[in-house]
Amino acid sequence: MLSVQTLSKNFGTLRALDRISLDVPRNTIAGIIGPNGAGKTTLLLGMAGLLPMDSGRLYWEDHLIPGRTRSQVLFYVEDAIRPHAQLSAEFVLRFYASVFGRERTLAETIIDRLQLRDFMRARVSELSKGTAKRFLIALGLLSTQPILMLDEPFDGLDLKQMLEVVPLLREISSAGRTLVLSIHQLRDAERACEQFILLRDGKLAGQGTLSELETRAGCEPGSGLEEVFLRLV
Amino acid sequence: MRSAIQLELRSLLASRSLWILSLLTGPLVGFSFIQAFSLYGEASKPALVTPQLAAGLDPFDGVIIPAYGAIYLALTLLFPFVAIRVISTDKDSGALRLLFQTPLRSSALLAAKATAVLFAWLLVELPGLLVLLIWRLSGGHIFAPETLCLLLGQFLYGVIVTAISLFAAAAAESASTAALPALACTLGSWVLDFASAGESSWLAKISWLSLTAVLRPFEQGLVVWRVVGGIAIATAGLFALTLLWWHPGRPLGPKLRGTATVVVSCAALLVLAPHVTGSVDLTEDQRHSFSPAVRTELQQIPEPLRITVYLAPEDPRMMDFNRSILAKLRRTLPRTQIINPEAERPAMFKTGQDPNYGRVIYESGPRRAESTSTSPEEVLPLLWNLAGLPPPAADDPAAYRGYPLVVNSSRAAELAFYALWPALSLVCWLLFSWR
Repeated sequence: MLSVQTLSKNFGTLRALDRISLDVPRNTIAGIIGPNGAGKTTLLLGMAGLLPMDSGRLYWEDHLIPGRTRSQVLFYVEDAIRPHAQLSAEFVLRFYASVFGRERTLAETIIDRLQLRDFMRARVSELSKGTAKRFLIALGLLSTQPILMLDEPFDGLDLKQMLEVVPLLREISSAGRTLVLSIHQLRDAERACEQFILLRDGKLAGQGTLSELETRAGCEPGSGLEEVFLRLV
Repeated sequence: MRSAIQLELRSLLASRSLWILSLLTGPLVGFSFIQAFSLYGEASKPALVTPQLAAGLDPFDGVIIPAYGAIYLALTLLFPFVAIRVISTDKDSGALRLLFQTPLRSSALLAAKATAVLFAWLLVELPGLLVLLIWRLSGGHIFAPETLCLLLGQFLYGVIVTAISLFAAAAAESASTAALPALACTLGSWVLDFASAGESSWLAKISWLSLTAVLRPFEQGLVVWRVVGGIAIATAGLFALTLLWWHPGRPLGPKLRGTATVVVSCAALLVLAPHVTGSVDLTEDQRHSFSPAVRTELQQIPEPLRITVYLAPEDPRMMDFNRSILAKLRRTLPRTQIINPEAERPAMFKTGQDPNYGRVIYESGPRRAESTSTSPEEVLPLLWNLAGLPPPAADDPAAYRGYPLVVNSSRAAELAFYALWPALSLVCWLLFSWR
């Protein structure tokens, strides 16, 4: 179980995260959902230990993980980044596969599953938005930490690509990794996630499975995430 | 670690800034070399007719140092941008945050980045090696120890500029912000040099911090261990600060506490650095040393020397005295105490109204001697007399004969630096940026 307790962050007078506490069961896909400015990226950065928090703790399997050792259990891929932009996608993926001690065959499988084969010789800076997103997902999948956090993993993917990526993420999750995804498209979140964490203005508006949230929001069973979101957020 | 170095080198080779640095450095070095080459040839012409004039023709001072002056300029003005880029680009692109989450240790990542910057330094130094090659092929003389001393100085200068640039990039939010403190350090050294040459102000008192002061003894063929130690301490401190500041997840409090610890530790070590007194004279004519017989005799003076000089630092007699006596004495007898009351006095009051002006007082234990001469021929006998020692047996080390060289054409150098080097830089850039 991934457990976050009373995580808070202020940027000057702006309260970006207000005592966020959440739990994500092991080997599930959890979606952090909220409107723009709700604090999704700040929460992920704070959980990853890449942004100093004002307060809060993170536990994995009941062990406290201090900020400086978060990278031992967590790997976080930001949205809209172009890491090592001047290098070819192939070189960068090989590098990350090598530092994580991944076998070449696994890297090749990920490349094929994400349909990156045709773009391997292109520079990272030259990749289209959708291809760059799949490249970033591939980078995340090459990491070995038990928790993988992806910021907006479906942003830039068309429906077909998304429908191919979601089963891959499910496979990764059932193979023993816990996935935390930040998603602003509710329909995408509903397709991909089993657990939902709803944020509003840096505060936790709700968390749980869809049926749990429907009950909490007073919605009828099967009314969907959109209805829950409108009521809670 | 190996894969991290590969990644950094590939990123550097694919960057435009490295090849722009290369493109500019070659012609810059070439221009300096060709000018020095031509002037040296002109100065050599009379020496071919009158061999006595040849002794003043030292190719190290006349050709090699001026050519390497252009490399110094490139390392000061252009190289920091390449070094800063190694961290700033990764910061901007999000790559650094990804790298921090890999099993690579932070220190290994920094070592990989520093290795890549070292490669850039090597590229800047290549035109210098080309200078040596062309000079040698033209029949010029190269004294290897002196030249290696210069290269060591260039290396240490490159290392300290690298450390400053990497720290600036780690602490600043963007490359342009990082460039400001990095250039302030390199260009600020020129201000300190200017201050140290003139008035006794607070700037002159901290002029030892000048980065160019690092390079100066090496350009004179002197390896000063105090300088080597100082650079090593400062570099280690700056790398430690880089490690403290570049991780975005470290809170400000621990960063500041760590910075204070590093600064205090380095300051304590730097205070000890002046106590390291050794130096090695690698010049061909041993210009920084007394002859072996004089050295042996000086070392027999039982009590430390105390020399009080009433000469302004900018007075040519003081410069001459410093070069021919004081600097050599400091090397031979490190315990020698040299006091110059004139150095403390503002220049407008050094108008010769002080009746002591021009006097040099020598003391060793209870004995005392005085002179107004700054010539070794008069000062050394005075010292023997002061110490009650007989003059040393005359030793006559082979006099420096000089190396005049007149070459009518610098066409090969022009071709190499103005055509081949830029073309090669462009080809390399295209080659490495093509996938």
